[in-house]
Amino acid sequence: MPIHFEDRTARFEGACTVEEAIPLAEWLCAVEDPRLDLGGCTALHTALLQLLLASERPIAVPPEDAFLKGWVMPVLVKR
Amino acid sequence: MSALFEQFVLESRELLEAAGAALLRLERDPTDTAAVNDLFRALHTLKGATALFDLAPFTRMVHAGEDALMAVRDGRAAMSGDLADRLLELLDTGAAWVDGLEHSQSLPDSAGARAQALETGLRAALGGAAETADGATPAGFAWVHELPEAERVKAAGRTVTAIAYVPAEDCFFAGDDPLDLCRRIPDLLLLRIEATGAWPPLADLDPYRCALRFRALSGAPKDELTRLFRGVPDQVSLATVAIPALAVPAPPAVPPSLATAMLREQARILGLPGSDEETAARRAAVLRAARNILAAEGRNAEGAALDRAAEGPSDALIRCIASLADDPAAVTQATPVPPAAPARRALRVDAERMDRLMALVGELVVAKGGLPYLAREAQEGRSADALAQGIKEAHGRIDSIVGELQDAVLRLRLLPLSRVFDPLPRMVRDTARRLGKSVELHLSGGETEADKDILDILGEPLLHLVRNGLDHGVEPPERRRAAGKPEVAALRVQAFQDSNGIVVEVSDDGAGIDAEAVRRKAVAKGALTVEQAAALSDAEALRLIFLPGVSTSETVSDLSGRGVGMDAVRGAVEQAGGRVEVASTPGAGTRFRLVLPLTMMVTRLVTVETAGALYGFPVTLVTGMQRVPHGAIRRMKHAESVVVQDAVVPLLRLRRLLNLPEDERERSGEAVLLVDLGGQPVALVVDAFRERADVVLKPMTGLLARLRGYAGTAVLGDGRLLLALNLRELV
Amino acid sequence: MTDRPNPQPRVLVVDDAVTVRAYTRQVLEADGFLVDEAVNGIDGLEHALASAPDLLIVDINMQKMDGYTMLRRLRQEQTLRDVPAIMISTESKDSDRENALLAGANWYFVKPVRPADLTGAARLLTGRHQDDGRQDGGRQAGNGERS
Repeated sequence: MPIHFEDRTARFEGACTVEEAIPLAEWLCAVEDPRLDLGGCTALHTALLQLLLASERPIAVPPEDAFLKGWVMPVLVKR
Repeated sequence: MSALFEQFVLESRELLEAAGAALLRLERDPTDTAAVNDLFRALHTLKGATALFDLAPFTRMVHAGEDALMAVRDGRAAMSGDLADRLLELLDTGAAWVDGLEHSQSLPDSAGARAQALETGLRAALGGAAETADGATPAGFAWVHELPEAERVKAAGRTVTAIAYVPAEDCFFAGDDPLDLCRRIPDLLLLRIEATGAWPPLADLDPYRCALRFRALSGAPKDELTRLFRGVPDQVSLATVAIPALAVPAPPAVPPSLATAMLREQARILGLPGSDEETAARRAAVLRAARNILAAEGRNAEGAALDRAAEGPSDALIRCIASLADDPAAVTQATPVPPAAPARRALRVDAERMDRLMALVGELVVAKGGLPYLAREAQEGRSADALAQGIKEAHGRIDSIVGELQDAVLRLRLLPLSRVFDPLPRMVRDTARRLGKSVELHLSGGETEADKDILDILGEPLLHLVRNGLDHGVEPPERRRAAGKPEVAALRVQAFQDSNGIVVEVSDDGAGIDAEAVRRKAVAKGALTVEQAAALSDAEALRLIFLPGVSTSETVSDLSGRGVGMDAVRGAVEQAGGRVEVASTPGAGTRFRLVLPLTMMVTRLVTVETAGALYGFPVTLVTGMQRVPHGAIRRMKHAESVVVQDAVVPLLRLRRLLNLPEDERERSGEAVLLVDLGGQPVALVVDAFRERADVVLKPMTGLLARLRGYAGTAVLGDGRLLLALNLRELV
Repeated sequence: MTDRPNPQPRVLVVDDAVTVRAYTRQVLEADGFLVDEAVNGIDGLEHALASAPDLLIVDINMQKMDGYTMLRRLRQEQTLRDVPAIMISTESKDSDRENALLAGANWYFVKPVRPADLTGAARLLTGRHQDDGRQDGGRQAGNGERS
């Protein structure tokens, strides 16, 4: 599973696909103070990105992937 | 009318005539392709010429005609009678405009509307088939030009492909991942990710419906992006747009982005396809171009890396040039740099000066060679006298070489003042024209040399003084006539070197400064009381203009009345260890005088002794030293003063300023240093005068750095420590 | 000591529009460049061979021989193959830029070029230090905007 859901941390690993969208949406709604760790994320499906944007939750660990760091993180931070 | 504009009028007429003749040929024989080409070329050239001047409607109109002809040439439209009529109409309008331009140098007010009408007419004649203009930004891409500068940086000055990608809501079901597609955009310069609407509460969000849209800029050509987005042609629109270069604050500076963009382009050229011969030629041209760009940027050292990479395979060279392009260290802007700034600074060195330095190092090596000989003699038991003599001689030789070395190193940093004089003639001309004044600028002393850092600091104040002279000093021609002065005012900027440093004078033969007005303004600003103002001599009152907020101008002009005024000039000059003086005769003119040290590396100090310690003051601030008998010092409550050269000057005691114990020695008078405190003369009592010293000031470090009033420390030749004082902060 | 760039680099301007040539000349000369002119590709080649300029500024659309052809020929000459070249055209289509680079240009500008951009690029491609010599002139003629 590319997204590992732990107590209150979702750890994104590798290429995270559209299959993760429903689990992520449910988890984001269920967890009180979710912690998002994108450190190991190398690709993020659009569906996941828009969930993150809509959730307005801060990113605890930003992605190291150059594209995500350079172009996607600024949008996630700016919300 | 400028010669260039005259040329334009002539050429436009010829082109319009040539176009008319070609059009008539074309009407007779609609299949005459040579006529189409001639007509097209004439309009194309005309468009280029109009674009050189501020004639947007003209350019637009000709452009529309050119578009129509392109459609004919490419077989997208047929040459019809209607189209020919429209084109003739266009040529007639053009001819009328050129006639008007010759007389009034401007287009009629109706030009914009007329151009638009012709454009619409042409499009209608083509059957509405013509595409939108290639030069203009296509509809839907206005955002490209509204980008904040920070986002535009990478694309500035380039022709790029703009991408507007609005994925279909159900695109995830088709297997699309728009973000991933964006990731694959080659040479991505900008990516904006935006929500198509407001986000609903998370629980209501349909995760499978795409609610994002993307806008991007890419350095890759449109064809390449068309290929990338071939799966979603209905959801994406592409346009080639030229991104304007970023605004440049000062005209002489090359926009940093241009050098970077050019280097990037060189790297890209190397990757272009072609025959072996073609790629070899491109490589040669790219290498020369890249080397030149580095040299122009003062980055010669990096040329070596380029040369090394040039010996390797193409991709190594591409990587090398690409990394040189993105080297942020290359940004060198002509902003004044404080002397201690750690930024990397390039300095071009005269070969001759470098040679002298090398010669001196050679002499030093020879002189050093004498020392082991002396050591041997000492071992062999030569008499102390003879040894002392030998050491003295060696010391003398080394001393003189070190002195010369120091001088040579300082000279490396010297540049002619013409560097800061160069922008003046143009600025004076433009400003005078705008103000409707006629002024002749007399520049002299541009060959005078000063330290690079001093020049950097001098630039702004000098511009300000010149602007100020034009704006406030020089009167309008009618007032000059009325005053019996020549209509053409003289503005003089001259530089020369004197014993203390360099002097730059800016003088005008204008109205002069009204000391009374300055007094009033300073009082109004609360800088001093009416009584204090009245007690000032006219010369002293003039100096009040260096106080913040005091300006003699009644109205705030757009030129020099922008809040930064003479106090900024004074601040900048004093930061460099210099001072500024002003003298003015009402009706006859004003002269500003900037006195700056020759260099900022070595500071010449007047040293004094007080309470057993040595203190130094920059020579440029000290106007005199004298012994004052006790009887000459007047006391008013706690304030003391002394009369110096017929002026009452406040008297301060260094021991008190530094919280040192009072001087208990028996003495008949005081040693008084006269110091110019930013326009305010001050007499400063010290224990004793000492010699002048050239020192390299070290800034205060650690805890001491927070102490006010100290400019730095220096070690004197005999090893004693000296504290350089910043009197302005102490008083 | 070092291979110092020519303080007054020579620029060959190849354009069939006399006003554009005059404008370019004015801008470049005001900035301290020496300017030579040619009226089409053939003329440009002849001038280039005769004078070995430090920089070429070439229009695309010209009679007799266009800018692309001229640059391709030039790049085949041993003595001229590495002379930096700027192509200038009113066309802002991506294919024009690409074709210019393919033909051997080092840089592409869309007309009209602002004086500061033109002198900036010329200084860079000829290796002239950016704060060297006179500042850009001829600004009065430029409208500073693209068409």
